Amino acid sequence: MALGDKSKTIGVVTELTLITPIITGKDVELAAILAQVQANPSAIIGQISTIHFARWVIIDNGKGDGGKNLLFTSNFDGTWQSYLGDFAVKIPQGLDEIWGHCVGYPGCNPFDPFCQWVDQYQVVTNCFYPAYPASTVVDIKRALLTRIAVDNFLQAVP
Amino acid sequence: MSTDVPTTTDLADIQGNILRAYGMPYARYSFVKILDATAAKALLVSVVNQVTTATTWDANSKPLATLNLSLSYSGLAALRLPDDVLASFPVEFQTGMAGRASMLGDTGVNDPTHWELGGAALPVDGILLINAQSPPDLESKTTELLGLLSQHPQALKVVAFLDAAALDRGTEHFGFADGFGQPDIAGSGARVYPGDGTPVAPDRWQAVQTGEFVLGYPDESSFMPTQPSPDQLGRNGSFMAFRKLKQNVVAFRNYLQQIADAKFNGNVELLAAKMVGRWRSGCPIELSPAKDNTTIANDFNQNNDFQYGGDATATSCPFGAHLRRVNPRDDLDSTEVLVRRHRIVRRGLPYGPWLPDGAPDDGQERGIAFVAINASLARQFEFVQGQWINKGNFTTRMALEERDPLVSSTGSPSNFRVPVSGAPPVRLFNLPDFVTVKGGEYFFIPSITAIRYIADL
Repeated sequence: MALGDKSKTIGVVTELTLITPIITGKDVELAAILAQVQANPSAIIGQISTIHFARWVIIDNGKGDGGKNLLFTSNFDGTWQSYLGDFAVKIPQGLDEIWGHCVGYPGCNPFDPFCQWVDQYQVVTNCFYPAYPASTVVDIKRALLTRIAVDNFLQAVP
Repeated sequence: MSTDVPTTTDLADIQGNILRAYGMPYARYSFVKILDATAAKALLVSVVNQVTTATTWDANSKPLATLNLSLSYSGLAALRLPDDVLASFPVEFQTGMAGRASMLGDTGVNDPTHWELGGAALPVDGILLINAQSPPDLESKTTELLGLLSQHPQALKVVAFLDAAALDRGTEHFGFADGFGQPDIAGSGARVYPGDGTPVAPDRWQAVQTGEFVLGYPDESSFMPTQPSPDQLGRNGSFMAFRKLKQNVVAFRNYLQQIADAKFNGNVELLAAKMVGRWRSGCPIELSPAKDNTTIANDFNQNNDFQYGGDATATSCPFGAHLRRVNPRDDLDSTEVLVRRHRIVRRGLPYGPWLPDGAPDDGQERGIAFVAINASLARQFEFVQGQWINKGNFTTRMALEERDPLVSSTGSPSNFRVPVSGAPPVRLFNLPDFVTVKGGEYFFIPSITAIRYIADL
């Protein structure tokens, strides 16, 4: 199985689901960091124009030892490699700050070990449904801009 | 870890024509199929000393002709590289260009099922490329090469040739001066002109890191690019996308005339410049929006020195113009894309004869033997071709169907919008393709060390 094969692609939209074990005792600190990301998403996640949705959830690891996992799900335009590549180049600090709390995280640069690590913890999604399979985030933003422009135009004409 | 840029020793290890253009007007591509791994390795041993490297030359020591070689994934497999070594090559290279048609937008008549080269009809294991200063130089180097091949008759067979040559008039077949805007590569030793690098301020440019074009050096992420292993195979190598692109010159000329008459007051040259982003002379429309200016075109300190920041409404150069797409310079928001991660070196030459202006279709095929060189085929060549050329929705300013009006090749009609100052934009719908993909393949350009490594396996 090649890198990226675990992701499903419908139309132009691809999904990724990742479950990574959090280093023992690091979950509280990670929760605080994710709260900061939530408060100011444009600093990190908003830097990448191909992301439809992204979600981080701290969950119990199910082993009964109090350990936690980090669940990450995202829908994005383009390929698995280019998505992770965008991450690694545009927001390396943000990435390292979050997944640096997880076991075995090698850092997002250099890129190859990072891809191997993501692949190791990626789980196959059983069912994936995008409502706009033919539209990228940029398409949708453009359509909204067009609507605003049309509304403004209609208001401006007597 | 190595140095950030190639040393003199490295230049003697890196094949020529990557970091600096040979600037030779004649090229002959010999596409080969490997017959026997052992014989082919023996051939590599005899040929490796003939391969032209990036070692710098001056006017007196410039060779009359050069020889270079590159191998596709099927070629490396035919040479029996171990499975784990083959698996260390990037997936897009392993898949090959035909298998990446959906990423590239090679659909309709451009679909690999129609290809004459590189697809199922004629798989290619490698290219032996001769560049030459004159036709006699080309012939004598060819004789030399064929002599070498005849000493290893079991090694390979040449399955196709393609001759390419600069046109006497100094343009490509659509009639535009070409070859401007090659990236300024750190450590290349090539002359640098304003506009070749990455814009870092409205009037400042910075060299692109060597690792964007040659493996084994830091790239624009400041880290090493992905390379095949072991290191002696990967380092100082590069990847090449070769494409045989047919240009439909008569269709292009007829279209220009028809649309110029209908929408540009008969100004064919203005429409042509709006589509390309340069006037026929090479003068950027950004620097001379109303008419051609050969003084700018002929001055290398001016003819690539521009950015799009002052043209946010695109009334000089349309967003969709060929030039503004394939190297957007300062034009795209950093959340949209990092332009400096998507540069390519182009080393193509036209094939086929020039069709004189006004001449009817002579039935001859003409086009360009297109060559893109980069460290990552997926991130660089495929991104430029698949996203910037064959789609429009890489920016919120364009729709999916607004493809490159000059070189898109999807078999689907495209649209083109020409913003006009103080008036509604001129909109062109259902532009046909003027370029058809006739074939292509991805090749690895091994270093001298890597050629020896392969031969010794």
